[in-house]
Amino acid sequence: MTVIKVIADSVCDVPPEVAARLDITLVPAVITIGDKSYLDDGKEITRETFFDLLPTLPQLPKTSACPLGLSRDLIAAQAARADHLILITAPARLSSIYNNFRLAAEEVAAGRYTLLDSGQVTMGAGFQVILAAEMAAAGAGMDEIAAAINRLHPRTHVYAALNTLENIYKSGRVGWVSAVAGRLLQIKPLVELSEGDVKSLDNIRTFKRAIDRLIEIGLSHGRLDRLAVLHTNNPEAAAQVRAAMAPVYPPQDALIVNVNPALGVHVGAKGVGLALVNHSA
Amino acid sequence: MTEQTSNSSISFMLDGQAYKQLLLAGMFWLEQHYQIVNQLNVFPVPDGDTGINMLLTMQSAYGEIAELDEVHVGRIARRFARGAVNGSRGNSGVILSQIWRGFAEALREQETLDATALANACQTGTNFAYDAAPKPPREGTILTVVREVSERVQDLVQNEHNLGAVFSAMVVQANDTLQRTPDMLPILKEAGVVDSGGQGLTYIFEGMLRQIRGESLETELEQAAASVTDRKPRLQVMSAAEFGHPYDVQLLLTGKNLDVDRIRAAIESMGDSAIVTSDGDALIKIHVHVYDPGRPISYAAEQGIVGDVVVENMYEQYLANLGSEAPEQATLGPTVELAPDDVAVIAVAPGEGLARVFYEQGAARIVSGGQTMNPSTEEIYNAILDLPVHKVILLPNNANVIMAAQQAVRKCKEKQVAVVASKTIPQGIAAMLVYANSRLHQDQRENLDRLAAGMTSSLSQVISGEVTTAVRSVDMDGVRASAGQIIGLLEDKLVVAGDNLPQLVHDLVGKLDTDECELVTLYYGNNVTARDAEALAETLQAAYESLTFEVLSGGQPHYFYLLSAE
Repeated sequence: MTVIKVIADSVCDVPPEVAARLDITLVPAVITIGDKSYLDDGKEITRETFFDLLPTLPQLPKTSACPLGLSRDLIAAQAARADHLILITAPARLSSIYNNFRLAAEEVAAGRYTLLDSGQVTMGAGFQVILAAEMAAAGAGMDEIAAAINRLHPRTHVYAALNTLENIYKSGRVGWVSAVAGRLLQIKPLVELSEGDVKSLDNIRTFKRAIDRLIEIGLSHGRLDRLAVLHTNNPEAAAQVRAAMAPVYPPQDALIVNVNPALGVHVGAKGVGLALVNHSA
Repeated sequence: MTEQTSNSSISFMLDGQAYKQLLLAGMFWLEQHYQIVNQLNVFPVPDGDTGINMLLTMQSAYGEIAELDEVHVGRIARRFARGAVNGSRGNSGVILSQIWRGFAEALREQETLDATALANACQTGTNFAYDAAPKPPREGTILTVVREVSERVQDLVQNEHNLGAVFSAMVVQANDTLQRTPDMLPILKEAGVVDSGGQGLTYIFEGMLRQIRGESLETELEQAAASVTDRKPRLQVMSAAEFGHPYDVQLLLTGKNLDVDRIRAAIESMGDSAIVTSDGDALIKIHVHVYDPGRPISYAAEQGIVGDVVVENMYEQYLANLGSEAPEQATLGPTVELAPDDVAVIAVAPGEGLARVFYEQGAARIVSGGQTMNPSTEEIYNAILDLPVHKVILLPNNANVIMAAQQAVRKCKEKQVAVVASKTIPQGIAAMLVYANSRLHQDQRENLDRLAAGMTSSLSQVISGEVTTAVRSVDMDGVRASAGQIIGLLEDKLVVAGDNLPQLVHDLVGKLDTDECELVTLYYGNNVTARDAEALAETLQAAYESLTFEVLSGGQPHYFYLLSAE
């Protein structure tokens, strides 16, 4: 049997316990706060600490792909124990990790890897990673896995209720935000994240109503195959949303994920979101 | 094996240690300028990180050779490349590390570096960089800079062997290419910047050139500063409101037995960035940012003798530094662009500030009016006819206007018109948000009935409050007020009366179910100053931490404040 191992970048947000269970290697991104850098590996800095810190920082932290040397070493270690590697990354147009993985894998696993641009952020990508690892463990072949990921992609949606406009405004990457931020009225936007774009679904005056609307949108998808409740240090809101999603997905199976800093720096602290996969007919 | 004449800019051959010095100088020169590189950001915000990513890559690279006594150029180049790859950060850092890998590949067997070897290194470095870049490679970036430099060097070394001259040509070419990057990449042109990665590489080559010429590697600060202003990306101009306290006030206070803690507390309450330092109890230095520079000065004059007063208007300075005129006050008028099939909204509002809020959320027309000056059916009817659309929603925003609006609908046979029966301004604004959201979704902006129903259901989302003067004595809902007193109402019920305006607003907010609310908006009338309204909101914010207070100019007559809670 061909042994296939899955490697993903930490921006895919697969929870560490899930990664351990499914033998997924997570390559940490680098977070730079002021002139200090940390690996997003849960050890050098935890996500809780990061989001506690975020609102107090005068300048937005920066995030980048990990050094090529580190991704190469992590990929080499997996290459030594597998016949083939699947590498899944955040959208190539948003992050240099795709190119980083390509260079590293060319060096240490040439001809023995498949590199996939997830086209999604946070658990939108994470679901692809988990699916790949589940199928690899069950003995599926590379073509089968790639085809399954292709089918998963269009059924995946990521939504978020932002608790602040400040971060996404400061980050300057989303065109419509400056128009909203420049308005007289306070707005808590509800957004959809897809293919690296941030699309405004609704402009809402209070966070409480933004959560209600998030749940409404989640429930409108009907029965789900997978669900993760995302948050940026707002476990209370995440728990509330998970319970409210019970009609379409069993709460005990829904993952609760504190989002990675690379995305979180734009989303801002105390936000809450949903990553879901529609039921396949 | 360094062969140099007395003129340090003429050298034909460098050994490994001399090459190491070149690399160090390249890193050092980038270090002097990396913040400039960071600022070359295509996004209009100061968070670029290309400079720091390239610098960290260079530092990691140099870290590998810092302790090496190696004189073999090829071995220095190989270790340097390894360090660069291991520490590479960001796209620009990765590409830079690949340039050094190419150098290492080309220089592998070179004991020394000469012009031909340098040309080969540039060539291989370029190839490695293109291979490593995301596909398809983008021109107008660091790639173009390294490629054109390499091409220039290939030509030059046919008959030029002096490394000083070669590096000099590299820097000239790099700068020339760099200045053309905005012509190759439209986003650079829009942002008014050159490519950041290309600029970083140019600094590295410049540092190497300076080393080979024996020139100083200390930055000429003025020159660096000039180049920052030349290339500073266009930032969004802050409005006076966003800027906050405009006046910077500094003064010295002398006196006897000055209580520095008490003075500090008083100064801090006046604005922000307060710094109050004392030299014993006889001399206190005060610095604070405020709206009214008179306040800290008058206060200090009451405490002792005031000297060395400096008042500066920081907002004026900010605008002057931007080199721009003060931003024009947004003109009052519709912001919405309507297609003939779209639904348009006509809102009734008293006061310019409120009109501005309605226009901003997409109202097509404001009919002036409200409590004491109800617009006529005719005025509303004419506004409906005047709009270039067939479907119109009316927001009366006042209980006394609803009937006139309904009458206008009956009168109007030409168009489809619906009334969303908003009784207050806050209700009207809640309904307006629903309208604004419908315009985000193409499929919803044309359905009059569904839109009107959605807007109507939002009316109950807000609690409306009003603060005004009692025109006669009343005893209502268990509250007694005499004529001329200030009264506060919630949802049309008299809940508080008093003589002190700020205190009364506090009491009014106290009557809200604060567990159910998150956001309180105060629209101040034409009888309240912006400063008083801001000051009130600050004390409210301190008293009710779980709520967010928002202050907007309403400009309405008679009502000190209109309040919305949601």
